[in-house]
Amino acid sequence: MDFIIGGRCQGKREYVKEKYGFGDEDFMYAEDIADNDMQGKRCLVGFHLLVRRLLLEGADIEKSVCALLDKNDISVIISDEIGCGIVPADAFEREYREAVGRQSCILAKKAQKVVRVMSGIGVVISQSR
Amino acid sequence: MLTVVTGGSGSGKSEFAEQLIMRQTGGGQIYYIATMQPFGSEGARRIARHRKQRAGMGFITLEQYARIENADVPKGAGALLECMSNLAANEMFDGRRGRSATEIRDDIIRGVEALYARCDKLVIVTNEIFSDGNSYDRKTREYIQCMGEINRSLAKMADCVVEVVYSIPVYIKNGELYECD
Repeated sequence: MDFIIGGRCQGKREYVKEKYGFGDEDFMYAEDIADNDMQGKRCLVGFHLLVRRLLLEGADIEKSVCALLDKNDISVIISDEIGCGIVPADAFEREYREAVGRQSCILAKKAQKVVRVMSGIGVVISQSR
Repeated sequence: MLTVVTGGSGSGKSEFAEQLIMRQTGGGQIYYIATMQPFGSEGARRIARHRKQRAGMGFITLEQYARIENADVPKGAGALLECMSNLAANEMFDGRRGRSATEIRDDIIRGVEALYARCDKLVIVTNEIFSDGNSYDRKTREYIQCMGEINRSLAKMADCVVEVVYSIPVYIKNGELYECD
């Protein structure tokens, strides 16, 4: 699995389309996943929002993500980087931001490749040999 | 040797910085300068998590919430300062004592210089707080500006600057010093 990260609107999906030959039909958005089923789609979009959703549901996030990865054949996960700001005043937002960071560390460790996309340009920041 | 470690929330920068200072000092005495005040249960939880993370690593913990030059680090020791964003917030919001933001910034930089003069190896953890695109009140804007200027000064002083992205080091100054590790 490759992990594609970056700020909002930096062209992460475009990058994935170009590099992996994916089309819109290969994208599964975090908010549309039901019963841990990717419906055969290979790319999960909005991992940060999946973390938010799981947090709101009170789920064990790490376990749930593992279950999703085990059940489906996911080759790319896309996520927004949201941790580079002022500490949010709201307690839930703080928890969310922190959780996205921690869960992303776990995904980055599992990933074959981590790519950070900025202004449409992907920089490979980690690659397992 | 001075290394600045930066990164966002939950990026794994603390853990990276701890491993780094351990490698640099190779078994020597390491002082952990903690700047975070234990506000409320959330603050206490954070501190407990950090303490657990570095348990058994042999750090001597010094709590120094302001006036970093007063941290009781002996000459020639290795030290890890964690972190600049808390230190700057403490100086700006609690211990302001009538100083302007610019004066606080200069005091902090001088404090770091004085601390670094005593340390053989110093690692400073700071924070990427600059990219959320939100609008803030004057005090917070002042804080962001102060932090930006502090980070720039630290980076100038530093032998090496590294951003940690989800536990992955991305070197932005003199990475060749470490990349072979």
